[in-house]
Amino acid sequence: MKKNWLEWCVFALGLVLTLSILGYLIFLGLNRGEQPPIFKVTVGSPQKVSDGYQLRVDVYNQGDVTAQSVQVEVENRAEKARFQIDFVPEHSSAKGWVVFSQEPDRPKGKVTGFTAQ
Amino acid sequence: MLKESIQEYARGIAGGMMFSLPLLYTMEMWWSGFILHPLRLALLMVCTFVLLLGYNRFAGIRHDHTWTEVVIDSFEEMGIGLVLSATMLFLLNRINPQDAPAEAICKIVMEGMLVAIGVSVGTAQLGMDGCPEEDTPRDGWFAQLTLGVCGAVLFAANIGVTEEVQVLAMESTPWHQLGLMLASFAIGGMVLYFSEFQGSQRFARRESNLDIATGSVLNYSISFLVSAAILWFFGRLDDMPPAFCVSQTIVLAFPAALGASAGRLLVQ
Repeated sequence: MKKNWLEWCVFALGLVLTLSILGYLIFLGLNRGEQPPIFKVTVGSPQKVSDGYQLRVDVYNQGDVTAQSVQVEVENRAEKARFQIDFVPEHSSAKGWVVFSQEPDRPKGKVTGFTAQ
Repeated sequence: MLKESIQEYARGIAGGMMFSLPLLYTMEMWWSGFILHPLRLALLMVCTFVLLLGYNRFAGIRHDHTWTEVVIDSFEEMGIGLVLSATMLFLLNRINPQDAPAEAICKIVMEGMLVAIGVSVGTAQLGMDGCPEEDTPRDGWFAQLTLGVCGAVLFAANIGVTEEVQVLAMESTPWHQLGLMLASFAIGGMVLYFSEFQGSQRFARRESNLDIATGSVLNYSISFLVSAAILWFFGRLDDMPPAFCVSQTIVLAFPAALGASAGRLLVQ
């Protein structure tokens, strides 16, 4: 078995990467809870645009499962604005924007529906 | 010596890209990366490694391999596959440093495993045909079985992840499915026994009609099982009624049958 230093380096890299990622995945799998998605919706401060007021909305999934097709709704005075996010992975956040014609007055955001595995 | 191994890695990288590019450019693959359970991805890594061991043992032009060398090569290919997958996902902006690490790693593993198989096939196939093909260990049925599984995985994985398989399975009648089964069966037998495909005389014994029948049955069995395994990995069989699982598997078994026959002969 004649191997040069490059082949040994690639082998060492492969061994370390494979085993550490495998270990990480097993650790992740065994420590994963079964909490379904629960959301925390944070509405940012308004920015004046030509059509009205635009606000950034951050949706954080506190559950242990990825949520799909997440419907987000933000209410401001009598106005409602919505958007949909394709995926919000577990313990991660995703963002979107809503636009209101009236000046925002303590707008409230919530998730109105989603699917999950 | 050093130049030769760099050339070999270059072939491996080219092969890895060639065989896995469709999947790197497929949406469902990135999604699977964060929808699937981490333990399923861990199992995917183990299965890929076993497949690499089998392929490196029985395919390619270097037949003087000991098992130690086969294990070393397989780890090298896993490493190259993971690094290539991470690089491509980064260049395609599918992962970035702001991602949660678990999400990024799951995506890299999901894509990296097929890249690793591609690296292995590329290293073995794209090189120059150096040594004479005598006394190879790949004539045995176990070697052919392993190579058949590799061929089926290479062909079927690209298709198995897409939602099209579910749509096709849902919209086909039992008669369509029966027809598709017969077609899969026939294409395997045709490639292995009638088409004079390169290598078909050497690797598919055809002394009697019984050989042809058993060979075709074996080919379809491999395809069916590989399809079922791929669909399960991608979560396509979770919480589905058994009849729908079977029809999805039948739909995917057609490309798998082509891979297990024609693909197998090509990746020897």
